[in-house]
Amino acid sequence: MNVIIVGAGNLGSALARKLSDLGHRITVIDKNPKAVSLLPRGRVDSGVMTVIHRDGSTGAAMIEAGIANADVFIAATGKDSLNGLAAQRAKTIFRVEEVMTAVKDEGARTLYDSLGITTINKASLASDQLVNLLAEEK
Amino acid sequence: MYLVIVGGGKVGAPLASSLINEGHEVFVLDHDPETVASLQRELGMIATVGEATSVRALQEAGASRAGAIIATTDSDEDNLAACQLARTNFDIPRTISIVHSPENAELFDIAGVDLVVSATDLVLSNLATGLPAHPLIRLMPIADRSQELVAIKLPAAGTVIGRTLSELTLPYGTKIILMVTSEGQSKTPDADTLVEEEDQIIALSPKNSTSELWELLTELR
Repeated sequence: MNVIIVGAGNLGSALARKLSDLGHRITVIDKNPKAVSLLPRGRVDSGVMTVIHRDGSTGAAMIEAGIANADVFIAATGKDSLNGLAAQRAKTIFRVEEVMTAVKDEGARTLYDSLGITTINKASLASDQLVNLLAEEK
Repeated sequence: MYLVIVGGGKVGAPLASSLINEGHEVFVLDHDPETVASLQRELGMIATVGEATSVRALQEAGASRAGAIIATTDSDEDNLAACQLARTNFDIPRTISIVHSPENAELFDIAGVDLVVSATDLVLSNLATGLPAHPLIRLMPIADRSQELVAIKLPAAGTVIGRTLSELTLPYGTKIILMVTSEGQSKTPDADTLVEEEDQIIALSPKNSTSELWELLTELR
């Protein structure tokens, strides 16, 4: 699948690496040129993974990233509202089939759920996993 | 009416002040403590520190009893999120937002923001009225932005000068609403209206035909 990820921070980079391991074509957009340090260097250098240095919430950056042929769009910056705007553009303007967004504020989940955008909440995923681990130990 | 304004800066502060003067009850949310302190000094305890995009902050600002939210921050994404969160969490009846990047205006419309004000378009149309050239001035989008109200000033040496409106082949769907002469006299347009030098033409135009209309009206002999 063709996957576009906005944000090359901890979450975006981990996603890029794992999805690339599974054989998907990954394009990462991050406006900070230094933000590639967490991405697998070999794959970026060899061109297997594409990195674009632009504001990933803009239409121009999405077009450069090949959004017309994208199967999945993931907004994974550290800013909820930027993720929300980027995800809505991908969904409503570019009609990407599967759109996901990272959210920190639980209150925003209802909103994006209602728009058909899948939400990822790092804190809630991590705490769920810890609770499961504790339950298993008992 | 009780109104929540997010962003108490260059737009939000004067807006709050004028709404208060008109008798509205206003509350301003801004993330910057200095901005909030300055609003409190000038207008009283009508501002608090909080993130525009936090559901809790919106709740504390009284979003659940507000008649409208007006988003005026410098960040398009924060304005959009504030309007959408206020709508989904507090069922706020009316959402109004400034948008800075023109490409976001369409997205805000689709997202259900009731009134979208494009700051860039406003500045450009005001600048254009002061220019000696014959620019296309976009006055306002109509309905779902598929049409727009535009103003075009005709050059003296234009090919359309001296002809009547019925002799012009306007793009499909275009309606000329008003013509104003260089002396400021308005002419109600009909088939026999004469097109004269330096006339200002106000037209309703389908958005994808506007550039064709501009080319027709400003083409030089």
